[in-house]
Amino acid sequence: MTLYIRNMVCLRCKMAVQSVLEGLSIRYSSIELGKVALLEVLSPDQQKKINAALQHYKLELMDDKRKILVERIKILIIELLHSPDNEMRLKLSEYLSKGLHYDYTYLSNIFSEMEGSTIERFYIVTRIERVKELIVYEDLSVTEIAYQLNYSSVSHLCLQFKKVTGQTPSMFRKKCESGDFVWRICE
Amino acid sequence: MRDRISLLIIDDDADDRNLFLEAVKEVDEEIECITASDGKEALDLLKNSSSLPDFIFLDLRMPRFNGKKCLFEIKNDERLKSIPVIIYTTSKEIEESRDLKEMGAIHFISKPTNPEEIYYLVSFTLEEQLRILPRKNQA
Repeated sequence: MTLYIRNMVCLRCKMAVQSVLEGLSIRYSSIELGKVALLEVLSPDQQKKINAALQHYKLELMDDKRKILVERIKILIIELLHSPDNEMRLKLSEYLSKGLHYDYTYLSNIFSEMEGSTIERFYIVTRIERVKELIVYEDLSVTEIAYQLNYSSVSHLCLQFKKVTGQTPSMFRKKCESGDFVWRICE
Repeated sequence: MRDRISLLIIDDDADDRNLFLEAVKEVDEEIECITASDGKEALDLLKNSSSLPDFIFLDLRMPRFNGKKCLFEIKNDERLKSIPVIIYTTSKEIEESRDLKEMGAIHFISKPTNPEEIYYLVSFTLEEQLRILPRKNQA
């Protein structure tokens, strides 16, 4: 049986799911972002218990096919932004169509209907979050980040960063260094 | 080092053209934008211009000379056919997007109803296309 879980974005989310499953003695074979393969079929009561436990971590079980598809789009984008450079060189529309076996226009329509905003916006905002991670955790220069995340230029990265966050990457770096900083991922 | 990027925006709606222009300037002030209010005006402009734009953003729904007809003319003109054309429209028809891609459009995007979203769409689309340009120049 496969469970689909909303809002899983990082390793900590995987650990939270693992802890929930182990706490309820539910056997599983793998935990991926957004998806868990179980070794057993759950009763409705067990599903309720899992959902209640997941909600402590702001995660939730999904059963609506359209919601699941939107979540899979988000997860593929997150994985893309953490992948080696060669995958980043694919066009996003081709990458998503290939990964989910749907026409991009269909994916784009579903995403906009369910989320009220576009895949492109989600991609840009998530990529900026990845830029923040690389500044804070890897201490990379903006030039290195632009190369790693396959931006067309450093200036494009800086302009987009300013538009999305209201500050330049160097202002953000200074705030981090001075400790005047609140992390926004996985809130 | 590549020359200044230029693009042509073809849209009959003046408000949408302006929103689009603002979004492009937010993405990169150096990008040169030319506009046309329908397919006929755009084709006249392209055929009488000595330099061609790097990309064309083409609205599909326009009176008189619509986007589909304009795309057909561009892709059947030896001088113009290599210009990448990105279609943007309020249509959500998957079949239509497939037809337009078969006709030679490189991308098909839904025109957002929220002006804030236009920035994200333009930023994303331009950036993805700009990434391809240097590799083309190297070829």
